[in-house]
Amino acid sequence: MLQETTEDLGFDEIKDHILVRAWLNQEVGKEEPDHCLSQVDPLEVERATSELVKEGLVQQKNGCLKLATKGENQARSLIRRNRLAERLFAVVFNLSEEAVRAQACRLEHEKVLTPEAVEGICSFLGHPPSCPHGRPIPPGDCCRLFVNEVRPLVTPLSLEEVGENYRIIFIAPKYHSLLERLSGLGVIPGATLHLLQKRPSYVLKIEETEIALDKEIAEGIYVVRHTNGHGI
Amino acid sequence: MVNSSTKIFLVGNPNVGKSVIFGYLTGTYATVSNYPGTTVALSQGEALIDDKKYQVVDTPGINSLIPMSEDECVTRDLLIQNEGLVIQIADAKNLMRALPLTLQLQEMGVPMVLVINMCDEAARAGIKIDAKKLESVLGIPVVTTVAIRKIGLPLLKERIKDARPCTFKWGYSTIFAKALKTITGALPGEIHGRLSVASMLLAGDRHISTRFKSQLSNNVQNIIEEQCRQVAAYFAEPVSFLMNRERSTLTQSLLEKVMTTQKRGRAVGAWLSAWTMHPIAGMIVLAGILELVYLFVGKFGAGTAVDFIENGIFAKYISPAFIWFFDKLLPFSHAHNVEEGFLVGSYVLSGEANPIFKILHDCFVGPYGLVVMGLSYGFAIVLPIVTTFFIAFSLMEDSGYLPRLAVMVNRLFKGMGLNGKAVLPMVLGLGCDTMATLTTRILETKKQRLIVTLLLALAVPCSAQLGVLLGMFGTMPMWAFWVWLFVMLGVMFFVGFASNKIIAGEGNAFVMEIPPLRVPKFSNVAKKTLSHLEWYVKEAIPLFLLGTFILFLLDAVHLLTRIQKLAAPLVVSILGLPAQAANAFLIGFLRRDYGATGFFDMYSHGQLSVVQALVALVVITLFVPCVANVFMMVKEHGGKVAARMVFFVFPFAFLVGGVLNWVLKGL
Repeated sequence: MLQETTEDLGFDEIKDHILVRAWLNQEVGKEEPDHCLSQVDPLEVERATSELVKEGLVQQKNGCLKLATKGENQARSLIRRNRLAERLFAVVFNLSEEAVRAQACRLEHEKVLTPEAVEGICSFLGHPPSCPHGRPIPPGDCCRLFVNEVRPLVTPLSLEEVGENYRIIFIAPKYHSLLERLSGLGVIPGATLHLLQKRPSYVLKIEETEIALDKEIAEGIYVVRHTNGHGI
Repeated sequence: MVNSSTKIFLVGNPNVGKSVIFGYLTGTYATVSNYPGTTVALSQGEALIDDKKYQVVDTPGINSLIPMSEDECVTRDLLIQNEGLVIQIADAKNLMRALPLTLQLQEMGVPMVLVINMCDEAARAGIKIDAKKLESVLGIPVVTTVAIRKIGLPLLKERIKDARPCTFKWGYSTIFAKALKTITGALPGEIHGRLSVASMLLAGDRHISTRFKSQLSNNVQNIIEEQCRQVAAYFAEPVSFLMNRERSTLTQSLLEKVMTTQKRGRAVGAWLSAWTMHPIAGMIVLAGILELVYLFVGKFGAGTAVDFIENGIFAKYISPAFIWFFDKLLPFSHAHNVEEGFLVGSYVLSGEANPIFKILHDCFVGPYGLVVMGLSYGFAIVLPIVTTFFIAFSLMEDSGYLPRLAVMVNRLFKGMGLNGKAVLPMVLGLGCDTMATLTTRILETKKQRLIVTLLLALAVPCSAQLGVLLGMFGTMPMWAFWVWLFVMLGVMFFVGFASNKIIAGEGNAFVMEIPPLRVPKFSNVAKKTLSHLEWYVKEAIPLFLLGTFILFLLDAVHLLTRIQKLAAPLVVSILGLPAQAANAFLIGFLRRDYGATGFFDMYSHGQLSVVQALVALVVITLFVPCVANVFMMVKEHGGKVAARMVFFVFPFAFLVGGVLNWVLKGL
């Protein structure tokens, strides 16, 4: 699947991938391979790079690429599309890790996903803060406004009904130490919970453990309704 | 393999039965209850297994070796500082939470045995575990037990000698594995369990990095910091969480091989459990339980039992016998007063008395005598109440009701910067504030611990205090009790609310495990009550005697009258009480319930009006409970904090009393 994607990469897509790689390198402060570029003709990559420099999207310093403000904006939306797409395929279709990655590489380009579509997906997924691998998803306008026009697929537990089973998709707590405490009790993404009550405090059951927690914490636990087996 | 003085650490998630197994192995009793976090400090004992001596240590429950609260920290530190073997105890219903801990213990490289406890409950929930298979996968002895019924425990004893490090094959994903390898390689060889220390460091455990700072060269510290920084920068979510998640995912796939679950219908216990936490039904259950506790502790304990022991035994036989004995031993011309047909401590002097005889006589059987006042108070008035309270408390604890109460009161406590979890120390405070101050360790943040400690010292009357209060309110009009209760609750919420604003610190998020409802075991309730009583007799009775002795001394050197004069502006003008009330306040500094007894005495002799008695009781209830409580505050929070609290509490108590007096007089 990975090969299929790379073979029919157009020139614009190669440019996109260079921007993505520059972003990734800045994010972690070191070199990191871009899966989509590994099979592309190096000459093409070079040509694309010099065009990006000409357009003022990147600067080349001692052989390293640095994003200019304009390029940074473009790279941010690429990353955002990529990681949202990863979320989408992981949550909705339960695809395997490689399939998720390959799909995301295809979907990140602006030609494929329009800004409106991206906002739709983002709202649909409940404005997730990170991709399935735990990497940050740069927030878009829709996250800042937090518009819930689309009935999201992934919703905070606090908006769900008592007496149903839910699968935890991600947890976005107010502060990080809470994540550790929750994970110690088995409240982790992927776990299935049964919501027993919401008042006076939330009580949920995971496996045979009953856990009580605040509404504020429940607001940060994002779930999808679970019927039988996996998926939705 | 194991030599004679080996240490055995009992480790596991909270509320899995570590203390029960500790009791079995050592033959000593450690407090057992159905409440996560019962063991806040370490208990140690010796065990003889196969003619070998072991030092067994019971530890506070942990969910992860990366500690989230102080009691978890205790366990972790113990494990990294000591060599020995570990018996990990797991709840058969919750292997999903136990095995990630096993993996962390594996990183430590300690020899271990895994106990899968509560197999009966798991079977009822339809869970089947293939222990043999688990044993071969993990490479350590796995024993299934029902600890409270001693099922499987003899086998555990046999298998302790087979303890060995876990050999399960697993690893973190590449980015963590690489960083762990680098950090482990950089750590000096003398640190034992290096892989484990490395993963704690990588997970960003602050405690551990300060602990090892002195042992590490700057270069090594830089390597560690650089690794942690790089890995942390890679993720939006905290590293420790992601590592926990990986261990959990691994556990899940492991469990699929050794565990089968059959869905069962909702059991009776589940319905009952739901009622106790229902917003409306839960209040009714709570009211019912309060009523039962009141009938048992307030009516039976403080009424019938106190009456029987005080009037039926002490006043009738013990006090007169001691008075008779000392009068014979130290004769001087006097005649004891007679109340309701029995001799009492006070007496009328007739002629000259031998001063030494008189002092010795007064010390034991005078009006402030150690026997007639100290012992009769400690044993006759307080003991029955303490006993009944702890029976009621143990029942609530063992049934699993207290965590459900926490669910009910969580919102209420939020306003005070606390959360529902604080209900345990607060309710325990009604038994003994000193014990409760120690139990504040189960709370996650320093801020919550401080607030609860302050509220315990200020507004939660202990059972000794309650006993005297209930006795006194029984003879006063009903409204006095309601005013008192209203003032206490008002003060508690006001001070809680204010300290929430004043004390710095964030986060009172409520996350708590709710254990299943269980039928309390009679033997455990009895054992627990006895161990609390033993504590009470050892800690409190000497204080009663000391308090009585000080009163006696003050009286003997006529200091009491002088203090009364000094305190007059405060006691007489502001609180509107007679000058002698200063005595009771004075002794209240030592133990507030003792001060209350003084007022009880004055009131029953008609020296206080109802309003005066009410004001006095409010002030004395707000006093710091007792000297032992102050020591515990110092021990838990340091001298500075304790001093600040004490200097706040006393003036504040008088202030509230003054305001109440002013308001009541105005009505």
